[in-house]
Amino acid sequence: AFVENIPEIYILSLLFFSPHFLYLLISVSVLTMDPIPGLSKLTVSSSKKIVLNCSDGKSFEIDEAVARKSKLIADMIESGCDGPIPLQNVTGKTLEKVIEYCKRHVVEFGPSDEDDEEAAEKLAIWDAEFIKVDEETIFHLILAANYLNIEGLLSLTCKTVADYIKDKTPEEVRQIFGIENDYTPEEEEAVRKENVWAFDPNQ
Amino acid sequence: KTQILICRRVVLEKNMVGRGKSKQARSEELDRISELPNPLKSQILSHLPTKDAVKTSFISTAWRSLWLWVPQLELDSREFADLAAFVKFGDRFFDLARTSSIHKLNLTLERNEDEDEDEDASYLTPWIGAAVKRKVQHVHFRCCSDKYLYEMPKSLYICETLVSLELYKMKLVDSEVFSLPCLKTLQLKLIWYTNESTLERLVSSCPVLEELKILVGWNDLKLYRVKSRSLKKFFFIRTSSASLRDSVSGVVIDAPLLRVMCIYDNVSKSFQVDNLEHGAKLGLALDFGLEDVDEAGVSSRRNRVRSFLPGISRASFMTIDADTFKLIHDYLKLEPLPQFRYVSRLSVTLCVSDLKGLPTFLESCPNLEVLNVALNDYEEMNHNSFFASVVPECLLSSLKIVDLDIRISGYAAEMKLVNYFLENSPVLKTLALQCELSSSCRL
Repeated sequence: AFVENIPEIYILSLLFFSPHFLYLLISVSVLTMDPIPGLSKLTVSSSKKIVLNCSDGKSFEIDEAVARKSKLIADMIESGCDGPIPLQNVTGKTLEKVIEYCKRHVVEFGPSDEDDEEAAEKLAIWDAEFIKVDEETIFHLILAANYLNIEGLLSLTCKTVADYIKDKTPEEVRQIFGIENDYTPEEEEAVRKENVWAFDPNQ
Repeated sequence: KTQILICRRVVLEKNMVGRGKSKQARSEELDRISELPNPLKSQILSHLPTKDAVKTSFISTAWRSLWLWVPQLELDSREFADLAAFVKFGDRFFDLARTSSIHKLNLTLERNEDEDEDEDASYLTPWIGAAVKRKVQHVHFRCCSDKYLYEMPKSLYICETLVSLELYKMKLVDSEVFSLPCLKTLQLKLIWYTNESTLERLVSSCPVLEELKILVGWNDLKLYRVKSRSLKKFFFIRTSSASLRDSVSGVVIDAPLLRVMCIYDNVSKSFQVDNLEHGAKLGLALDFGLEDVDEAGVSSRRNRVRSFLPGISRASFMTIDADTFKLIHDYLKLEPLPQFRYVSRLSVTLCVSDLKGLPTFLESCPNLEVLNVALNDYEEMNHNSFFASVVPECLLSSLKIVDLDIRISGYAAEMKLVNYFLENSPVLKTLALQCELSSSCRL
């Protein structure tokens, strides 16, 4: 308990000055089987770590299982990529959010969750909170999820944007997203005619 | 200026319409959504019903055709001015030049009975052909006309990517070839088959079929035969308020992996269940086509009941409705029941007059653990309603939970039933009573 309450920065500075302290902490971790907060990056663990490098220089180290939520990364691991994986199209801020999603959605080995309605509900609530971010972040997440090929995240982000479009008139949608109407009046009329079904006020 | 920027960082709420921004503010906003590549824009639209996706064509020139790339289509012909407008619209989506994949197709079709029959149906064939080519996975067709049934184009019979199919009021013609290697869910409601063996051959051509739901029309007198090595869930509904004395209809089901079977049928005169393994859950509401379930009627169906019961004897859970129990009760007077060795949970609805048969029936369920009994009529129990005639083995050794939904008016008769369980079941843990207590009752 003493160790758990020490802020991360102190632990790191102690390690710098005392290699023996590291040994002590590892043994404590192994004995208590509790991950010591703040030391997760340094604790000796059996699962492989993957390092991801972002476009703006930031670096993230995550469990392989979490990284594999991205089909792009999973394919790279399969084809033997060992060292840090460069992700030129994703910034650190976005990747942090993506990793948060992947961590929560990692399928844990155990009894099948197919019929576990309660777990699914909890996950859905978490997702709803997770996606409460500003417009800029949502679009960055869409692009990142698409690039990294993370099906669940892409679906979640696209559905969120779709919800802003649903039941709105085209003019309202233009306002929300700041889209400019570049139709000529003749083109507008033509579009309205060919899709009159969608605009029928009777429906 | 700072204030406007702060506005932008507010979490997006749904009611963002009419923020009333000044023109200056709008030019500062980035049109981020338009920066997304088209496939991603279409991906967003795929989470909308077709109508909303089509509406986006009006937003700007970049959005004009995006809805055509959405891999699903949901159309209702009744919403269009006429059939020609509906066909014209659908033709754009199913245009042969388009090759993007289609995931889901949901069509509601209505036929105007004045219109020429042959002319009308022809549009469906190229549409289905295109859908099959574009790897459709989920197809749901609903027809609203009673007089003329749309015929399902044969190209769907050999769709390699189809995963679920739901049809309502359509015609299935026979074909030489059926091949649906990915079909898992099949729902056929009020379908007309040109050939009696069509359904059987269709089901047999689905190697991974897991769920089958059939709703049979009142004037359909066929024998339904279902044989599947993969089927896990089977639902069969066939009811009619008319008397169909001359029908020879029946149901034959052979599915070794079946886990759930519900039959709600007051028309079929025979039932045959083959290869049912233990672990299956059954829901039965059937009366072998008898207009009145009485001793004479059951006697006339004796052979058919005798060949049906062993087929279901390996079930683990059973839910039986009042008519079915009445049938079993009358049958018990003629012949013994097979042993339902694996039944651990039994849910029975019955009439007061059939309560007497309950102990004898329970004798056939030696390993029963949970029993639910519900009375479905308001006839009151009297002293003759129930006798503790026998004490079945399950009461003595395995019955743990009993749930009685009976109307307790405080008479001794109901208490006889309750005490029957209380006194004879040493392993009983819970006895739940759901009752309506009348004012003159004393428990």
